[in-house]
Amino acid sequence: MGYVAVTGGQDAIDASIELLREYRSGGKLPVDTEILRDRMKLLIDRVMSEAGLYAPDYAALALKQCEGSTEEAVFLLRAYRSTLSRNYTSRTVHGDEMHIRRRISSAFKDIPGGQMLGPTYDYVHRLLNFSLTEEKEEELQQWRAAFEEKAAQAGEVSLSDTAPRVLDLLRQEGLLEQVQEDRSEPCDVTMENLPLPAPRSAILQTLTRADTGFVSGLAYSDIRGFGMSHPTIGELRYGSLEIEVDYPLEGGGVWYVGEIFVTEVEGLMGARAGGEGIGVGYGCVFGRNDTKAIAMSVLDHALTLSIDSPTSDMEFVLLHGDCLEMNGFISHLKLPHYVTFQSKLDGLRNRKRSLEHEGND
Amino acid sequence: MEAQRLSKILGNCPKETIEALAGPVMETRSVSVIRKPTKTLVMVRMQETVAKADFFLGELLACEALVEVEGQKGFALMAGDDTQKVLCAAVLDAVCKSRLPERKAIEDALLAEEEKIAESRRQEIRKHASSRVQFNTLDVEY
Repeated sequence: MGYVAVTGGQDAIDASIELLREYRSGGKLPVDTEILRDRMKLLIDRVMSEAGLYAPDYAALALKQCEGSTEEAVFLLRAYRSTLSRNYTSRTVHGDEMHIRRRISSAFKDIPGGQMLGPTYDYVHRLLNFSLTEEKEEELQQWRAAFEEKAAQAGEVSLSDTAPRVLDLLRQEGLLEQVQEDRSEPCDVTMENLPLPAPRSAILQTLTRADTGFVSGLAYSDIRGFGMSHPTIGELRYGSLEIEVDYPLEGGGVWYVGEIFVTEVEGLMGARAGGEGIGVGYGCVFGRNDTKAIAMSVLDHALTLSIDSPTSDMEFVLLHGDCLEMNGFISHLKLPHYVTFQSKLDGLRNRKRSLEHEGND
Repeated sequence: MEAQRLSKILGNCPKETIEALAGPVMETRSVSVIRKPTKTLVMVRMQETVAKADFFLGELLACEALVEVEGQKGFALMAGDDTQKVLCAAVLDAVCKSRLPERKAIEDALLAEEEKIAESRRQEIRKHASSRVQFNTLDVEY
């Protein structure tokens, strides 16, 4: 059964779009995109991650345009991104070059370079802070100035913000699962259809731009028993990576483009059945998003297992987590399906009549 | 000054500083724009740690420009969408490779900016350093 187009409704559609503007402009205060960008950072990070586009200003603009809907914001960024040409690919970036702002390990309490909590909600009380409704910007800025001053007076601290990887210690000891190195050219799922079975590069690219809720939910199911993972966070680090390209003019060299903030995780997943060494799952996502990066590492490892589990089913995991695709498909169900549904009803009525006729005979 | 160092300074410099340095050059020198400032994408290629496979993490919005100052080409590619800033940065790149008399003063100013950027980074490190943590296990030592 094919789809049948419908016509009409243009005036109502125009009015609906006008209503959207009316809904978006509710209240008396304008939404400043700078405020969204600077004070809703975690939301901005999530939108950029799922859009696969690192552009904080545009993520803020997209959120303003669509009343804060992440799925619409991702759609807007993906659509905009498709209008731009990609003239550059960065030099290969390595997580151990990160300027670290947060670094923890739940496997080892003493790690080279030390653990640093950085900004985290892990240890806050989840109590609504009603005093924020009366928060004065001037007082906030005074607090920030005092905080900066306190930091400046803190005395000598280690001024290095890079650190070796925690798991390198286990690698050197030979305690990690031996995995064959993959030096193949990476597949780009934004330029070609996802091949199945997918190469490692396509798996990681698909997971990093997947919907946060989908990735987290699947990883949760895996850990609860629908899979085989028993993860321990070997290392989680958050910070900035310098993005560089080849300098195109005479003399060559390297050109620094800017920095992006990412969260990277190496998860220790336990030894696989009959195997030796601890398996490692890898996760890395745009922005500050511990949960998604950890969940990605769980799924990364689960997809290497040959077991009967939803999270080890490559097609299931990789084809259903894209924010744009999943929401687009669900959303399309709202569009007129009059002819297809009438056809179903016709079939049902015919069947019913047929049964009644047989009964009469 | 090599491209990597220059671009790192320019990339972290306030727009006003870059404009202030490039402005006089653009007013007094022959500057032609070969590739006008345009938004583009930079795909970030990253290496993971399990199989050391490269993969594409996502794209970075950036802006690029190509200019010629008194016959010397200059290039800039900067994160974000600031077309004016990237144009000025390309002009400075050209000047820093040229034999123009302005070069010395501009490089000195950029080196001063480099120190400010370094201090800003040190301050960021200090701000985070107080959240360094030493967990201790009870009863059992590992």
